[in-house]
Amino acid sequence: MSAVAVSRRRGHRVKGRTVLLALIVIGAVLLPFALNAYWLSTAVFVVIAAIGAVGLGVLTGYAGQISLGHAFFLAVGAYTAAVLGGNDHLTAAIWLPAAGIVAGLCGAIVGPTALRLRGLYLAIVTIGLVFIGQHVWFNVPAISGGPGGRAFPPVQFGSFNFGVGQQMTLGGVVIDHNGLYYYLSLLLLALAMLYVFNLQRTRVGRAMQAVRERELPAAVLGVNLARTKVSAFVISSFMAGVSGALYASFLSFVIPDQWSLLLSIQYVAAIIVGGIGTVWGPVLGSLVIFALPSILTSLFPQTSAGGVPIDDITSIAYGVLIIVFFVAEPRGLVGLGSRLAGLARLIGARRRPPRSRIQETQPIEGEEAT
Amino acid sequence: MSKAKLRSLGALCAAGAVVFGLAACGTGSSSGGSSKTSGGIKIGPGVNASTKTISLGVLTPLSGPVAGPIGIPLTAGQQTYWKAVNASGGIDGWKVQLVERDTKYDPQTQVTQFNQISNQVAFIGESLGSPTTAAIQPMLDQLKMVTGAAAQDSKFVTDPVMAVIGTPYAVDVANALDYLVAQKGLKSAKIGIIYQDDAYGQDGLRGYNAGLSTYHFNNVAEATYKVTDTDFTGQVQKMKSAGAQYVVLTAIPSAAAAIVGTAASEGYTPTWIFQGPAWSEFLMSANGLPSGKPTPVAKALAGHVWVLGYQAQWGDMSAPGMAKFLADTKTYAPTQIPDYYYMYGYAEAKVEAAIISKAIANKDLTRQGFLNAKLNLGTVDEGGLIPPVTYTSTPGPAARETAISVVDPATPGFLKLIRPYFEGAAAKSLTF
Repeated sequence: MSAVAVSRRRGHRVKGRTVLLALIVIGAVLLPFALNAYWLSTAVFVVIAAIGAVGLGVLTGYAGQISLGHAFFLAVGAYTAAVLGGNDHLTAAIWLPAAGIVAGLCGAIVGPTALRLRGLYLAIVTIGLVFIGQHVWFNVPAISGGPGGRAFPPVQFGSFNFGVGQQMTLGGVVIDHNGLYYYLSLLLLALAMLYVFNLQRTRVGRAMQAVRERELPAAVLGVNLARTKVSAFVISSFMAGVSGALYASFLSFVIPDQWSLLLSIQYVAAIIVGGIGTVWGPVLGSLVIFALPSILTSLFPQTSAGGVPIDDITSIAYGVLIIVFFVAEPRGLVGLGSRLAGLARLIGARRRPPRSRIQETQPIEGEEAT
Repeated sequence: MSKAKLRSLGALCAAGAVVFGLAACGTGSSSGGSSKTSGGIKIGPGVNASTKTISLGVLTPLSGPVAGPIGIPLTAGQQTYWKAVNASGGIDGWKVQLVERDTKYDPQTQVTQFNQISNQVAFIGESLGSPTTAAIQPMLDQLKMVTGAAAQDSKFVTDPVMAVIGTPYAVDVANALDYLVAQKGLKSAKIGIIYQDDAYGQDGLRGYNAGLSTYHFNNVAEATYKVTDTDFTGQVQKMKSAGAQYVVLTAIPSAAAAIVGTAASEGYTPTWIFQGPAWSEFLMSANGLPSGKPTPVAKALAGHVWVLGYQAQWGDMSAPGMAKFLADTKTYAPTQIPDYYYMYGYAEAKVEAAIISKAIANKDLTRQGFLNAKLNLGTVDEGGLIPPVTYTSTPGPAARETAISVVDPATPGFLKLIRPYFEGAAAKSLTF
């Protein structure tokens, strides 16, 4: 493969990607004006969840550490927000980052277990985290309000209040409570994605991917296993903390029961369905997993006279999606996308005089499933 | 690499600019719902003056585990009441329609569903569940939306917008202890409690402790369980070894049945005092009727279980409202089996009809208008289906009375009254 051909093709792809990215950004920014309150609040939940999923994507997707403890870190972030914002009445400019930092510290404490355990064993230990966490949330009312749950503060920066009934008028355009949360979450999601996008090309990011592929050769190559794994845990937990804080704040009231193993599984499902080891995968996956119940609910409206049991359908759909993607497309929705793009290029190439077709179909950045 | 850096720098700058730009603007309070005037009556959201229709929201689990035993019958009770009202010409000519949404008993779904209907409804006729209702509470407060909260938690009765009917769980337990210790004079009886580890259980425990400090009974054991538990051997063993003769169960039906069944299989048969939500007629037979096939625990329940509640016995004609209730049920829900959540929904709708009627009299059908009507409602006679409901501008429980029944396989609905409505000293001592 000649270097010129590669760079030319890359240039072509980069241009296409920039256009696509621009379209997505414009679409995401204009979205609230096209949605009613039901879909907008669904969108807020999806975007908030996507922040956490991007975090899990770093840990599981890039560093290859399977964790079912994500719900614990989400909860730590949420309760940090509740204590600092709710009990101590601090501004969101403090509690939002603090939620990430405290969750990140918890990640740093848990991280070292990953040095001794791998794969399923690590997954089981992280399940333990969820249950230890729930035990604490159920029994320390000062933090969590006890089994009955507690209220969470709305995001507020000085005079800038995201609470219910607040709205902002920008040049005649009114953005309500849902819209405010949407844009804040979208901004944070964009920052998280940008960070991960850059991270994967740095020394730490490449070290993570080396660890994921095989630990021993990575160590032989000079990768510091301890540092790499712990930093993956810290980054992942930080994002989970911020996501959890936003989630609880938007929901305004949370019971400890909600930070359950099922929540962790939803996040794992999101990154599997979306595409492991990619920047966009967790976002696409969140879109599917966290919007699915709302979509099904609106497709099959329930009445007291009867209807389709949505709860069961959603659970079945999660399971089917995970199996289908593992069997048919382990690279997830992102893989599906690049496969479609490859197909489109192939068709395009057929129309033009044949060039080196083999190169066209070779994936360039596609990752093998782990 | 440099391109990526440049791009990230640009994005950061843009993000920063947006944040600072917004921060400079600040936010303001939105004006809560526009109101018009039509024919001398102020009209708010969810009220259609041309068709004379008032829409009420119903946020209830219609799918998932809570739907079958609670969500669906409770909503059916509401529907029956409104169908009957509409058929008889409505409230001063105004018809009521329900906008139902399935919440799956999930707070997140509750929030999205509330967002979807909040502009279409005058107020919330039914919001079922404690964590779910709490999740929309800030929005309800802000929008001044009266809400028929189908949750007996003490914490809702102090919120002006919450129209809670019936007796709080804590008061029920306190009254049961009054009956046991003060009225039956069982001062040395060994008493225990098993409660669910959540807000509902905590409320039952609150009443238990209030009873303890008032009557100084012999408290021998306290045990708790998680709502997801399926094995109750530990809790039963604790009661058995403490020798508890009376055990209060603040539980849900599935757990209550398992606890009583486990105890019976070990030959331990104290008197079980069921908190209202622990009871379901489906614990006794497969179809919830005395004619149905008895369940495995039916024998253990019969005669050994008291059920606390504030509702009239199904078919008890000494309650003046029973005849109309049964007639309406026969006309509009002919397949409905005797069910106390159904009756609860019916009674709840009746209070809301009184609120609407008062708001019409005040010529103010805005949200504020409905709230004013609720706060100045006074006492509504429920025809004996539940104790009279009282709402004033100082919020508190709508009632503090409890009736006690014993499980009897021969009675329709399986419950035979042993102590009509009463209010004990401990119940009076509870503050909200």
